[in-house]
Amino acid sequence: MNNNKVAVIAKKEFFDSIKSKTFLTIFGIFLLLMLVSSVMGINNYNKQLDQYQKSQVENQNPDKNSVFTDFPEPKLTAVVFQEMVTSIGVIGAILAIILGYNTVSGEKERGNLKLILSYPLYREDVVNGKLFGKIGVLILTLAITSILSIACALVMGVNLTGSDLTAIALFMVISTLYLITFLGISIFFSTISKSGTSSILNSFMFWILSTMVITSFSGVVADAMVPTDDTAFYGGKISSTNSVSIVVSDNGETNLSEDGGESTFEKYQKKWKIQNTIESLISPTQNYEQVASAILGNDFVNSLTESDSSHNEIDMFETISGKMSNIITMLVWAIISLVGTYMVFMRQDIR
Amino acid sequence: MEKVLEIHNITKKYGDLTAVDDVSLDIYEGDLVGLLGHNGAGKTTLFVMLAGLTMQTSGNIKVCGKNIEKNMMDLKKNISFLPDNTLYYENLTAKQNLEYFSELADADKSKVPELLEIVGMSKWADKKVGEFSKGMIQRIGFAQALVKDPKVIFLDEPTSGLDPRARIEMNLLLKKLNEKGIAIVMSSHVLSEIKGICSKIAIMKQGKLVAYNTLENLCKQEKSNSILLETKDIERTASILKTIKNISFFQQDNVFKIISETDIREYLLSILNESHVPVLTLDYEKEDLYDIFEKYYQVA
Repeated sequence: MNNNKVAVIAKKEFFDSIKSKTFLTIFGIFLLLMLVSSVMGINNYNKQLDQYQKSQVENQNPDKNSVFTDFPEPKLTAVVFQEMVTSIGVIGAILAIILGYNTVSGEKERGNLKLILSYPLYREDVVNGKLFGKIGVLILTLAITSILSIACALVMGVNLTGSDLTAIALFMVISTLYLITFLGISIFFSTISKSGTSSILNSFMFWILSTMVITSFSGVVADAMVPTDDTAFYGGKISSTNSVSIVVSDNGETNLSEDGGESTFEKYQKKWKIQNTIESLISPTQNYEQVASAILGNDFVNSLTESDSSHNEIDMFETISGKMSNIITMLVWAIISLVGTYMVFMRQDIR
Repeated sequence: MEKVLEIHNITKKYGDLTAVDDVSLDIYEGDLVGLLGHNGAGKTTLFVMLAGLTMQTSGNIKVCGKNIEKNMMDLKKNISFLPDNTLYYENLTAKQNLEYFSELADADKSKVPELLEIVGMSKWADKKVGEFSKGMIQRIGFAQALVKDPKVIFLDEPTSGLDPRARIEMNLLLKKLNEKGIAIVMSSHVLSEIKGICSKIAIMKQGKLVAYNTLENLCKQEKSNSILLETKDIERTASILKTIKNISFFQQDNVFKIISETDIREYLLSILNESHVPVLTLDYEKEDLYDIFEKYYQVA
């Protein structure tokens, strides 16, 4: 590898990308969505904080008429940044695909690939340069987004603690890795496709399959493996045959029960696990959402599938360790696609 | 003169297809070689191998005496390639494009204005390449080919798609570069262009190099089977020719074009003298590049 050549190509790619109209349009939409998410999140956080503070006051002066007096303390990152997880999951992936789809196919279409490769550089220098340049753009995108979100929070009077900033930093790292995964996938399709059109179609096909189709597929598989009576769970038979009760225990745990209801709940837990496992194996987006939510203190999957979800204080190291399988599965796609890119590009006959 | 490129028995196969078949040729400093051949004859594949983009299946290539396989990176500095239909980076200016290629070639970026001057593009240095005509893009291509200070340049159909005026300008530019001692190998489908500027002609057919020499030597090698006879007595000449077996002839004014598989010039001269027909000229019809090219493509 020739580092100077890689740097030259990376620099050009970086500036080309940030000047590209398509990128700027998607980036604009992304930024707007993120800002809206931030503002909405901060408003939500402030409301939840108010309710929490009220409940604290009420707890000191217990009111006999009040049923739910124990509001949990809202976690800033969980409320403010959770909306962003979905935005990054969808628009971020699109942004990464748009950035990468023309990486190699575009050079082929413009006839520049033959020219570049006739210069004294190695083929991997071309891929590395382009990859690093585009990773730079993704980092810049997320950096701008997080700075603006933090600025929004500060302007709207929210106090950020050290652990909040750590969570945000980690969230951005995971988001960058997620976007790199989709960048790698689109660069791979760009390498194997003859035109930018087929490259972008293949990339979006992968994205649709891995985010939307897989959700339906995993649901069907889970249904087949663990048949459940949905009408019973959602209350359809309550009035006639079953009774459902929600029991809130002293320590805050919630149990659903009916006639034999505990077993139905267990079935749903099992079904959830199957569905989640299938999605996690295939979908980078699913893995990203799980890791990001856990980092932000909003681990929905764990709270549903694990009995002990009562602890409020989240140890970041523990969270990351717990989600290591998701991180690895997400990165496997990036690794497979980049290894595939190198293998195909190194052996590709240029005619 | 120094040998800048030696090609020894190179073959390139893509699966079952042999794109280049056992080609050998030497190119010297200051050569301007025109590479001819129908589409699919293997010209581009040959260029692609010579530019180091793909490896030959067998055979070897030496640039300035060094084997290309062992010294690829060094040798790429001595070779420039101008592929056909290259559009460059349309969002960059002419100057920025050349600066980028200079950086990739480890060349001095400060040479870029001089290169733009050589190709007559100084006025458009700060214009984006996306706004350029095909002719202007080709000029940028030539400038790009010069950023490395190469010993040999390969041009794949450099004048394709250009209007006549742009073609003439390109050819003048090629001549100018060649006069500096740079060896140039160019492919083209325009025979008059190759004839006009190239010192040597190479003809490829179905992956093989079927001819490689100067135009003069090729004409000598490939004797015509047409004899041109100019006489003062048209009627008697025609009646004499009708008596000769295994020939055919056509007449235009006082010139007869005689097609014969054997050299009948002496015989013809003797019987015309016997019949007292005044002969003004008698010789083989001069071959031109078009005839030579067609002849190679007719011989299956």
